[in-house]
Amino acid sequence: MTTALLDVRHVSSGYGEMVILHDVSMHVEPGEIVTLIGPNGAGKSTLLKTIFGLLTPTAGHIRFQDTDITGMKPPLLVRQGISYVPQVDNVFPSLTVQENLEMGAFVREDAYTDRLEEIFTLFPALRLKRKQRAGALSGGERQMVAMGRALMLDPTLLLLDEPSAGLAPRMVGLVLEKIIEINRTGVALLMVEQNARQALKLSHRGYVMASGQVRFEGQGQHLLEDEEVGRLYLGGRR
Amino acid sequence: MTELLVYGIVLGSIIALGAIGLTLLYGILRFAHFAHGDLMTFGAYVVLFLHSELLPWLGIPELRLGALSFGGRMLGALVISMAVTAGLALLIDRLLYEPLRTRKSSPVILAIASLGMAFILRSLIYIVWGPQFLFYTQELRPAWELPLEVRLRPDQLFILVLALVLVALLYLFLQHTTLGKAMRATADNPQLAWVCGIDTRRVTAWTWVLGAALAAAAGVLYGIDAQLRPDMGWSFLLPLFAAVILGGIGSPVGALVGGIILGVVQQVSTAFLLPTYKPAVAFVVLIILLLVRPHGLFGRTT
Repeated sequence: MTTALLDVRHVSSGYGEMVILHDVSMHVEPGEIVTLIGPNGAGKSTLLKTIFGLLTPTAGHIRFQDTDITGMKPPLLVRQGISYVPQVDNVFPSLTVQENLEMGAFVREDAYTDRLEEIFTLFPALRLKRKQRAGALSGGERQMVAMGRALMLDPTLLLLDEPSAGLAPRMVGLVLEKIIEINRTGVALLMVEQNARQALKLSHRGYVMASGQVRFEGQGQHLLEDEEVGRLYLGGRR
Repeated sequence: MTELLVYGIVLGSIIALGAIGLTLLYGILRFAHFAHGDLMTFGAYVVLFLHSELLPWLGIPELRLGALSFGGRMLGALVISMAVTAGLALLIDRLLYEPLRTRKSSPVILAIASLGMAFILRSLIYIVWGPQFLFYTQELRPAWELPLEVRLRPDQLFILVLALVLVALLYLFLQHTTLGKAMRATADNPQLAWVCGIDTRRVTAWTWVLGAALAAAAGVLYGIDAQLRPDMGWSFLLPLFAAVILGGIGSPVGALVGGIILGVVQQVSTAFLLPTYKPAVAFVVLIILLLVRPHGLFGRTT
């Protein structure tokens, strides 16, 4: 297990006095897509926020590439190679698409024009709208901007909080396709997703969370076929 | 009438310089900075000290600048004063506002703290320089007779040009530098800026530097145009806030346009009303505009 890219060990965390995660252990291997599923309030988003230093764990340890990142704050974490896309308010509305992407590269010391080109190749729709304000874009386009912004630092691990939430069905498919494309470039992804079935299909592994704990862990396909997981967390039969 | 219009633009450019700083600070720190007018006063008196005391004492000569009532020493003093005022703002932030922010105090607490700071600054100026009107120079320069019966003093042209240059520089900074974009990003969404790894403390510091430097310039320009009084900045506070609200809170371009409109309206009103009513006229305009556009001229509706 020492080879894991991200290793979360016995972590408890929450908002102030309110403890939401209880003794959670999970891991992400290099190049993997891992999905967290489970009912509302299960602590999936809390786990992402704790990994990304927006919340401080009250117990346990988090390691990333053999560095202890427990309690480390976002400005340091982005330099370590972790990027995070929040579920809502994940673009700068009054900045243009290109400026949003530039903000993603804020901590880069080197020139980032090559990376900008790569992002525009990944999201061709953004190239056409690079001068438009992000606030004027559709929900799906905004999600592309948010993901593009997070990718500007060429992260090793990308954390996505419900990337398809609130999108039109056609856009959901597109966003999930982009996730596979991003993964093909070698980026490991850890995401929370409401469209659990679709997400598990494209994931290498998944964790089922409930009441702040991990209940099941397994390969994406196995979780999809597991009767208990299906009955309890995937809304009955397929 | 045309003359009043021109004088209004001159006054408006001074209001705009103060209002832009105020709106930037509001956008990033989310509180109404009531000590902004007194930063203007402070900047103006620092120039008085440098221009009339320190620089002559150091033997730095006053290089005549054409038809202006002052010379190169004034320009040097202006630059130094902008830096000193920026330093003062950083110091105040470190001692007063930052501890309040770390304790997650509400914007009201911060605003009231800044109101207290306004009184402190003004009282210090009373103690050091006294309550009387003071002038940078006693020199009188003939005004130019321009077409349309406009009489314009060379000093007023200087005020207008300098204000425009400063605003243009700020605009270029905000639009084209990484730090400027980071400032706009932080104003847009502080949480996301933090997630991007943007050092929000550095952004905050630069906001103070820019806001205070522009306030100092505004105070000095008013001192050149009229005179220095310890309550000059305080009396500017209402027009500053009116300009910020008129333009749309958080929008630098809005603050510029709002400032010019207020300056013009105030001056032009003196053709019909006693000058005493100037502030009231400004507020009538503000109220009418807000009834039509509740978010201000350049405000965001979200």
